[in-house]
Order: sequence, then C-alpha cells, then structure tokens
Amino acid sequence: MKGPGRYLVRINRNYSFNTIVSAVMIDKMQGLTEKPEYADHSLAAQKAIDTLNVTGTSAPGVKFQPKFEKIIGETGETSPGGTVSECRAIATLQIDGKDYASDTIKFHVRGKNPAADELNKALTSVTGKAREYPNGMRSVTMSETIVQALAQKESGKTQFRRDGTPVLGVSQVSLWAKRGDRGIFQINAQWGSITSYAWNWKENVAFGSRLLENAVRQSIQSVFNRRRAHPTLPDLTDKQHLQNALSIFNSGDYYWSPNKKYDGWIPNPNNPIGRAYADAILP
Amino acid sequence: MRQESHMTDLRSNIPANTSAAIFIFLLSICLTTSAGSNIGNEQTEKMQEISNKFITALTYDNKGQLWIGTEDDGVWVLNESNNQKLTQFTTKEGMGDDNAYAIACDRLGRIWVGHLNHGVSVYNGQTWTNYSILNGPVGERVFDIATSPKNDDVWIATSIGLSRYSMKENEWTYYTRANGLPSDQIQTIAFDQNGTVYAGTQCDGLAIGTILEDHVIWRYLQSEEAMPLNWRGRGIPCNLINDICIGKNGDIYLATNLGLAIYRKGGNAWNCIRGKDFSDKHKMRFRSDVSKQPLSSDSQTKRSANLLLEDYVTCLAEDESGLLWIGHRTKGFEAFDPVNKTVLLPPDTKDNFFISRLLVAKNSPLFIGTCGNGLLRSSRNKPRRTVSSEIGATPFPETNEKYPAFPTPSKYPPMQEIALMMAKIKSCSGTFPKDTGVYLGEDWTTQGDWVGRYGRQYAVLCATDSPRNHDVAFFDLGYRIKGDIGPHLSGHDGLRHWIHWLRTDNPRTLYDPIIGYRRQAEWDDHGEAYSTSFEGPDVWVTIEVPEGIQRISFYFFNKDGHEGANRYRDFLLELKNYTTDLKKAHFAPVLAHTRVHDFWAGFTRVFS
Repeated sequence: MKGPGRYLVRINRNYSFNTIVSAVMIDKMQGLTEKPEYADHSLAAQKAIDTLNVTGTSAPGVKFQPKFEKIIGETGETSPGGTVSECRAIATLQIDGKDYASDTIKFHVRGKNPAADELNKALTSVTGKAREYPNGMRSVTMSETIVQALAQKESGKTQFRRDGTPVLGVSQVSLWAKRGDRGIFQINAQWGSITSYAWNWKENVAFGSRLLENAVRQSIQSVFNRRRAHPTLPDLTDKQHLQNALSIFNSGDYYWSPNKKYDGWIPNPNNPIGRAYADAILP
Repeated sequence: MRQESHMTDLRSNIPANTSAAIFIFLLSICLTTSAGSNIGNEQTEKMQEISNKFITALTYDNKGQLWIGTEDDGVWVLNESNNQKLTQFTTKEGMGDDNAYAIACDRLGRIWVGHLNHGVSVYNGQTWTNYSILNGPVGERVFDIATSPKNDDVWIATSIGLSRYSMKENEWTYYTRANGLPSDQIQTIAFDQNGTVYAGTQCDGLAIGTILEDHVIWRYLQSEEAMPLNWRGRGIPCNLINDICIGKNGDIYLATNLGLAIYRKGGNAWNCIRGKDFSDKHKMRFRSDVSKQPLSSDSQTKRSANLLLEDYVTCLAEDESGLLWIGHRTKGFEAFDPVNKTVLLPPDTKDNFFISRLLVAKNSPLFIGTCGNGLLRSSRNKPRRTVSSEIGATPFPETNEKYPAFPTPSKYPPMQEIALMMAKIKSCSGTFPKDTGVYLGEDWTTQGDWVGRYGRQYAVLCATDSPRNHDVAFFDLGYRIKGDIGPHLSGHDGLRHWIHWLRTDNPRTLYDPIIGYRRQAEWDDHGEAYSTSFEGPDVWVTIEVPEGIQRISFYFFNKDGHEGANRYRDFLLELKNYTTDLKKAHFAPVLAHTRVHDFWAGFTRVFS
C-alpha cells in the first residue's frame, strides 16, 4: 500500500470460531526516508522557522523571531532545560512581538559521550562513605575503583551508542520502550522517568552512584538488624558489604545470607546471578 | 434412504502383549463407543496407534499400503496385509519436518510428502530425501500433491504457487501469478483423464490449466462476491476451495466453505448445493436493511430436504458406485448421490468430527481422516490388500535396482539469468497508485523470530501488555496501528486483549523484545460468544502510514488449534480503503485479500 494515508484491514471471522491476530508489522519497502537530526535545540528552532514556510514580502525592518516554547519528551513532561532529547518542539513565529503562526516540529537530538576525564571526575565525586542509618555508627567506604568498575560492567562507561542514542539493555530494540535500562548505570523505569537518565549522563551517574550507596546502606542496615536478633552472627567485612551492595544493585537480593546456626555467613544459594555479578566486579 | 445406526466394538483389535497396550485399547473402546461413526449398516473403527492424531493426508502407494500424513507426528504407513502393521516416519528418518500435509505416490512408487515449511520429502522405499525451496518446490508450505494421469508428472500445490516435476525430463517447472494463475495460494489439485489440471485456490476460485507442449493456459472460475441466498443455484458458491474431486465419468466436484459445487461432464454450467446452516447464515449476516433481502420462498420450503449436513465442506471422495463422500468441519461426513442429488445419510448423525480427508478405493474400506480423532476405518467391505491396478496406478516397475532413484533436484538459475532478471526488475517503471494494495505472500518459516525481518518501521505485538499492546517502534515516523472490533456485534462487545501464555519458549510464539522473551497474546473479537452462522464480529485494524510504499504483515498462530472449536479458525483478510464508518467499510470494495487457515504452526501474511 502506498502512503501517506490510512487503510483498514478486516480480519473476517468467516463463520469460524473467534478471530485472533498476534501482531501487525509494517516495513517501508524502499528504505527509510532520511530524517534530519539536530544536535541541539537551537537548530530545531531554526527548523521550526524553516517549516513555517513564510512566504511573501516583508515590510522593511520586520523581524522574524521564532519563539521557542518547549520540548515534549516521550513521557509527556516538559523540560525547558534541554535535557530531554525526543521528540517535538513547538515554535511560534512572531513578527514584532505578535504571534503569527505556530508549528510543531519533530526532531531527534543525538547525545555525545563525555570525555573520559570528565566522566572519571564525575564518578570520583560521588564516592565516599556509606553509613548505616539511622545512627550512622557503621560505615563502608565506596572507593572510586568500585564505582568505576560498576560503570564499566553496566555499560562500558558509555552513555550513548555510536548513533547518539542512549545505550539500552541487551533485550531491548526500541529506544521508546517504556521499560528497560538506560545509559552508563543502566537505570530503569522503576526509579521514575527514564528520559533524563537516558539522555543526561550526569544525572545517570549521580543516580547510579546513589543507588549503589543506598545498596551499601541497605546491607549495613540488614546486617545490623540480623545481628540484633542473633547476637552470635558476626558482622560482615567492608568487602562483603560491597559484595552485598553490588548484588542488590543487580538482582535486588543479597550476596551473603546467615547459615542455619546463625553464627556465620554463607553465599546466598538463592542468588547465583547476583553473586556472579558481584564477583565479576569485585573478585 | 435412511440408514440404521450401530455402535462399534473394537475387541478384535486388542493388542495383548503389554499392559500399556491394554490401557490404550480400553481408552480406544471408550473413545470409539462414544464417538463411533455409523454409516448405514456399516461400522467404523479407530486406528488405535493414531487415535488422537490430526490426520492431514491419505493415499495408497503402488503396493496397496495406506500412507497417513499427520500434523506434528510425521507419516504412518499401514500395511493391511501384514497384520495391520503401522510404521512411522519422522525427521529422525530424514523427513524435512514432522508435518505431512500432502502425500502422493508417483509412477515409480516413490512417496512424496508435503511439509509445513520444508518443501517435500521423497521416499524411495529405503531412505528419505528432502527438497526445500532451494532445490525443489517453489514454496515451503505444501498443501497438496497430485500426479497427472496423462504423463505421471508430480504437481505440488504450495504457498507460492504450483510446482511440477516432470517424470520424463526430470525437471522442475513453476507456475505462479506471473504465469497466469489467479492466486499463488493453491489449496488442492486434481486432474481429469485428459490431463487438464484443476487448481483450487484458497480464496480466488478455481484455476483450470490446459497443458500444452511447453506451457499451460490458465482459465479461472470464480463466484459472485456476495454469499448466494438460495440453498441451490448456478455457479460455484464461493471462492474458498478446500478440495476437488473428479469423478470417473468426468464430473467435477468442488468442496467449498459454502457448500458443494458440481459440474456435469458435457454440461454448460456449474451448480451448487448448500448446507443446513445456510439459512442461519443468511439471517445473521450483516446488512443495512433486513427487510429487503428475505430468503427466497424456494429456500424456505425446501431447505429441510436434500441439504448437506453443513455448509463447510472439507474434503471429497468418490467410490466405485459413483457415490460422493463428503467431509465436513463440524458435522462428520455423509454420502451424496450426484445423479438424484440426494443426501444418503441421516441428518441426525451424532458424529461431530472434523473430517480432514476421505479415501476410498475399490473393494477397500472407506478411510476417514479427522482433525484430532485420528483415522477411522469403515468396514463397508472387508479390508483386503488393494493392488495398484485397482487404484489407477501403474504397478511398481520391474527394474534391476531395488529402489528407484530420487528425483533430480532443481537447478539453480545461472548468474547470467539472475542478472537478466535483476535488470528487468530494475527497468520496471510502473507506478504504484494510491489506494491500491497487493497481496504479497506468506511466510511459514520465520514463525516467532520476526525481529529484523518484519516490523522494522513499526510493530504492534497485540495484547502483550494486556489490556495494552507492546509497540516496538519509532513513534515519530508517522505510523499508527489500532485494533478494533467490527460493526456487527452484540451489545457493547469490544476487542479482547488476551494473554494465553505469559512466558513461553515455543518458537511459534512471537519474541517480545520489550520484555525479552516470548509471550503468546492476541487480539480477539470474542467470536466464541457468537454462532458460527453469525457474520462477524471480526477484528478491524486501522493502519496509518507515511509517504512511501509500505509492507503490512500480520502474524497468526493458532496456539490452541488442536483443541475443541479452536480447530475451526479460518479467516479472510481484506484490505480496504479507510473510512471512519466501519459499517460503510464493511460493504466497501476489497483492495486485496487472502485467507488464513490451518495455522497451527504460526505464519505471517504480507500485504503491500
């Protein structure tokens, strides 16, 4: 069929049982139309001016001034700060302060990976001590090495792929899937909007580090609680707490679990995936 | 002529060697006594070893052995003269796959088996050899195989047209729409005594091919677009042809979704006869004004007599007395006297088998293949070995070799020929006008592994996030897909979003890249809540596409198609121009169409 246009397909039950269909799929037969890609919003605004297609003769001295209003992201939120890449910009053409026309422009923004020094600096800045709470008596140091290794494990310390789109989890093919992992620390939607984590590498690093820190705290708190119930249970070492944290980061479950007598710790038999993940980062 | 009924006892078939066999026997007794078929004062019995199989093909070989094709369970051979011995062949023995949708025996005694997505396999009496689309038939899915009585050529009906293997030249020839066929989807093939080939298409009527020295001239026979309103009439009742039977006297019979079509040799017209459910279909069809289209008085007064058990005719076979045996989808089977145009079996038969194949030969029992109830054998005559001369085939040739040679694989076209073809394609400068559509074909091989092959611009995995879908797509390219239920429905019915298996490794289920595994889900029109005589509700899909020529693909998988009424699914896909009013769209012209049935294996239908 030829576009642009709309068509209907009737899947006729044809006097049989019930009509079922599992998928509808579309392919363009003569290759993709090249879409313009814009590296920043000012170019998108420029495109907005172009597409308004103002013709005719202007009076001398009249200034064409597009008013860049907002960018609407995939989840519908508005972000005037330029952190959102997708999808539409609304520009209004003003002549001498008066609105004349408005149009919505679709565009892609492509991301660039930060320089190595810049990323390392950001990763270093989020390391420090993670303490238990509420009283903060026990702490575990999150070294730069751990944070770097975690970023390396998750994404190869890469926020964007070669084509400028965010790094996705291995099972995803669509950037616009509402679920899935994004960017350097592979943050997913359970932590809120993934748009900013997908496109803003600094937010991704900050949030990923915070997740690790929270995981360390969760480990300390958990051990504290267990030892209060079972005084014979020894404390974990800093390394073991970090193993717990890395395992939680990946699988949500602990690396170490108490033995049956509650006088020692054994590798959690129910979490081989999380343990393997932690061992890969912190052998 | 009303016949009496009997129940069947299978005690003579007890395999007494193992307890397991006894259990099977007891189960068989239960099944048979509850579902045994009665043909007059004759009896039917079930073949125990294949009692629950889906029989898809039946034929005799030149030695009189019965070859039985099944869905998922390979091929079985029944040697009636050797203590009813059954032998099974599957992929382990070298077949292409374990689905045998067609079987034929050629003049040399070789057995040709048509597969789901592996072309054909040929058995020479010793081993199997598979011929795929690279070295054999043109399509991977085979629907029927038949041999020409004139020159013994083997003809194969596939999803991409007809393939012909010349016994004389050992060469393959292919016939598609490019050669004049009305459609590539050939469901069934038959020959008359002159060698004229009759190809029943899945939804484009009958193609009749006159075979000349170096090519075939095709003529079409198609029905009116609308369903006929009478219980009998002129022409063929519909274009959905399921089987062809050519009688010994030259009469031609077509099994269709809307009854039986009959052509008398020497006559000047086709006639049709409908099933008992025709009037219900008439009443429950979707129409704008009911009062203007009443049933004809002829239909109202005579419909109780001489109607088939059911409109849907699945298969046909003629016996030596000229009786036509007719298989149905939900009502079992019956006999029809073509001379007097009378149905010979009582309409109150208790059997509701889905009959897939009927096979009858002189002095042999009637074999009845069913979908899900295995193979039935009617003891209308005492079974005995049927020799090849009685079934119209040449006796097994006397040769020095014990086993005949395999057919010659098809030759790859030389590079020069390919280059010429490519140049011809590139030189095509025709335009593709707007508001047109073409049916491209079907794909039985890809099954659930669609990523990268289909939906590169947009894909909707129906209901995988029920009550929503998973859209695997770039949303800003201008594509949009929306599902809906049709205008002819009951109350406030709506489109169902149904997840059948939350997670599965079945390769026939589509992989869902958003969740990272396969999930069987689909849109469903809730048709199970309506009579099978009701027109609708149907699933309607609105598709919006941006500039350019677009390819639209639909994936169907009858995942529960071996259970209950799910076996009956048989759809028509109709591409139409867009309108906001589905009632108008219902009656709007069809731009392209295709039929979807027998999709237990899952396959893709493609429009452009």
